[in-house]
Amino acid sequence: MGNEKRWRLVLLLLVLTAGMVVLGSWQWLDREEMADDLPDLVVYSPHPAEFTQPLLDEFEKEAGVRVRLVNGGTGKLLQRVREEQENPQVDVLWGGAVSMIKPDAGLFAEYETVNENMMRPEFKNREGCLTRFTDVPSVLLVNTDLVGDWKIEGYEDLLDPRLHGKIAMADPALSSSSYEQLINMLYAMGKGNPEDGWDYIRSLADNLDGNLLESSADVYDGVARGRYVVGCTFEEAALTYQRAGAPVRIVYMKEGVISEPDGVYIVRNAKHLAAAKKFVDFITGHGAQSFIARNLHRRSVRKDVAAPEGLQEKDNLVMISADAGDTEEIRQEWLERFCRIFHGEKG
Amino acid sequence: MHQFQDELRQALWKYALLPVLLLTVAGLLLIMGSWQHYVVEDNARQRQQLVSGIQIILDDGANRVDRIAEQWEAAPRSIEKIQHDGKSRAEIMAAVYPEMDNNMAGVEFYLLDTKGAVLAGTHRQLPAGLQDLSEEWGILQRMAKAPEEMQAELAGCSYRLNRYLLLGKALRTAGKVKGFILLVLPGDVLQKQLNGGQQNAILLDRYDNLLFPWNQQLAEGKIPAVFRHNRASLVHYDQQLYYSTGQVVGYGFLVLSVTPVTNLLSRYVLGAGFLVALFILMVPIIGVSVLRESRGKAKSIDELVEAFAAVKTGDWTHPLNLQPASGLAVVQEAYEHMTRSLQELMKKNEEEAKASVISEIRQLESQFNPHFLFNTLENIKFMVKLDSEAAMRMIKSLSKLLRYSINNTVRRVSLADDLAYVRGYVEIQQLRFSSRLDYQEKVDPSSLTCEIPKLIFQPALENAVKYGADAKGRITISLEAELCEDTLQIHIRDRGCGMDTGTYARLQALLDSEENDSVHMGVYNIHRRIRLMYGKPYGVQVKQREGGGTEVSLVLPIIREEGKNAETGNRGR
Repeated sequence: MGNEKRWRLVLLLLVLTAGMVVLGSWQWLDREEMADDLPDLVVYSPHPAEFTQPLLDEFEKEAGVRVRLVNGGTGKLLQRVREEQENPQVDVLWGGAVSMIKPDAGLFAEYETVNENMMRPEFKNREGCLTRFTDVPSVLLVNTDLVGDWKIEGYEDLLDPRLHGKIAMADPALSSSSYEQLINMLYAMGKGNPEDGWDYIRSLADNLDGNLLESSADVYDGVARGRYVVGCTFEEAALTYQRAGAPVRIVYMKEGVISEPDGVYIVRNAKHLAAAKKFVDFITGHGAQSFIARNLHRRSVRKDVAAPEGLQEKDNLVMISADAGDTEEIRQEWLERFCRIFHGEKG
Repeated sequence: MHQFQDELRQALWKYALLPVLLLTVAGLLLIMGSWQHYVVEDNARQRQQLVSGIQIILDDGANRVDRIAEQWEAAPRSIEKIQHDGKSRAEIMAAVYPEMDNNMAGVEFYLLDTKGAVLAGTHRQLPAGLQDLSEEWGILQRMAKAPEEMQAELAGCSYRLNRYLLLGKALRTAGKVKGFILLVLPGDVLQKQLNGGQQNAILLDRYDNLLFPWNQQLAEGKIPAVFRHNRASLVHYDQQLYYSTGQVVGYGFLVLSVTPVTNLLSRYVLGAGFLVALFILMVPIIGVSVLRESRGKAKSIDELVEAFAAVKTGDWTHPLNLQPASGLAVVQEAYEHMTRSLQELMKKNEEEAKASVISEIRQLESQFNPHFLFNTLENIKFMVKLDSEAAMRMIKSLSKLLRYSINNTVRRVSLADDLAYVRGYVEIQQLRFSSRLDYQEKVDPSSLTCEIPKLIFQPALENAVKYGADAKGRITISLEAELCEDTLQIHIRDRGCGMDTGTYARLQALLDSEENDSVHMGVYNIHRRIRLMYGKPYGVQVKQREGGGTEVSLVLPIIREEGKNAETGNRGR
């Protein structure tokens, strides 16, 4: 019986030791917790990291807010906001053309930034929930090495048969900047009436030689690399390449330039509303706007911030405005029409 | 009965399971030990290395910056003059350079005016990614806002991998901010010097921005939120497991030490799984073999016990079949030897006892012969002279009787036959005693076929003749045979003087005892013969008759002879 007891004791000791070792290691794992009371802000943005990082970096330190950024295409991010509207996982959608967001304005909360009175008149937040933060005009990007002495000053010049197959344009169904170009063409070539612009589109489609690119990056990259002589793109990208020293030149269409602002939108029922408001104020503030104009190649929406260095002031350009094309129905209709023309001509 | 089996099983379990259990526990301990060594300690060492390095740099840098700021306040100078006035510049820089005579390579310092323009410093320009500082942008803004405080933060383009740790303070003259002193510590320099290029320990600010990239997947500049705590914990991120610990180092900076442990853990899980599987596999195997073994061993023991229990109840023939391999062959051999020899011994004893009984019976049978013969011959001696005719008859009767008596092949006869011979005897005695002997027979006819030992009551008759004479010398003998319940009783009565009390008591004592004394009395011999042949309840009773005389009663079992005559009846037995 003594033997029996000893055996039980040994067993008990073994189990106890094992248990204590396990417990001890968990105890060790679970030590002091860092106090963390910083508010969080979740931002969805289609902008590249080069654009967002310096701005968010500064915002975090200025506002004392920790930002979590989710990157993606505008359409996808908008879709996520739409899906999450019952329980928003995001506070701010930062980026996306106002024309593209407008049909979904109901997803976003009304907020008038403290900088509203410093905004240029055309960039006032008329809708209440669509704060503009940068201005991105459509432009043509010309490769200076290839263009020679051909005259490229506007859309009309793109119909030059010598440019046949040497024009870069992205599929407007895939690229928002290309869609902006489509609107710009219709209004500029239709002299204010988009219906009259479709003739030009037909001619252009002919001159594109059936070649539509898949993304806006293929356009400016293609021109900079000399694959194309001219490309239909947007000012920021064009300026980035120009400043980087690529053999490119920006051409503002003499027929007229439509400038579609990018916006920053607070999501309705955002969990961190105060931080979201701070962010909108920050990004429309003088510091951030100047930084953007100086370093990030975009035009400011503020009256008191000059155009980026090397860009013409908007006052010197032929600016036109579009009042259609920003509803989903028209967008669908125009895209289908474009597709028909393009493929129909081709076929 | 099964206690032995239980004990055996317990012992086997104990000694078979204990090593397996020990092995398992030791394996688990080993795993924990290696975890502690390769993960926990390694992780802590890397963290400590970075923490102490960063702390020294921060403290040292802050001290230098503080001293310059203090000097500035103590001896107000106009910072703009640096650019234009060689003397002022020399004066200022003479104070600044000793402080900035840094022993750490790669650290840069700059004197900036309120607009962020570089007035003096390591280079003419701020490094790439920091160039656009202004009073409303970057660290300058914060230094201007809180001129009393030391500012430390991470800055620069994470996507281009040129991140900096900035440390700076406003330079004031009479409470007004005139410029800034800024220390710039490039992330890659810090990483190389403090971390030895390893990527497991990282520095981040309170917004999770990294000073230097951690690994390729996480080069975006922010640590994933799951890592943001200084608890020691296992973090699951991007299908990988990390062991992460953290330590706060001041200015809101946090040093994280992150060790990828997926491979190690999967090996541990494999090892632990192997151990547990071994354990799970071994337990039933051991269990089954223990059961079988203990049952086998215990079966032998059980059989042994059973065999001995059978022996105890007298069953000597119980077989003992132990398993040949059980190591108890010796026991089996001994058992078989013992039972065999005991059986032989008992058989021998039995035979011996039987033989002695037979020989005793023979002896008892033969005992009456000499007396009778002697008496008869004595009688014949007289009769020859007195009545030769009667002597002839006597001789005839005697010879008939003798032939009957000495025929040893017949031991049991029917009462009828025996009576016939006994009458011969009585006839001899009547010839001897003539009218003085009165013999009467009263025999139940149904008793005539009963089987009795040959000449069983003849000695009693002889006694009656010998001692049965009354005072006048007359001998009156009556023989009565009857069936009483399930016994055959033969009474021989006389009318003699009887025995004296001493003889009677001795006779009674002799009848009660089982002894085979050498000094015999005729009656006792009858008693002994009956006892030997039929056992206890039967025998001889002797009574003193009222009014004189003795009655000898033989009590015998009723054994019917199946219609055969006395001569041959028992031959087959």
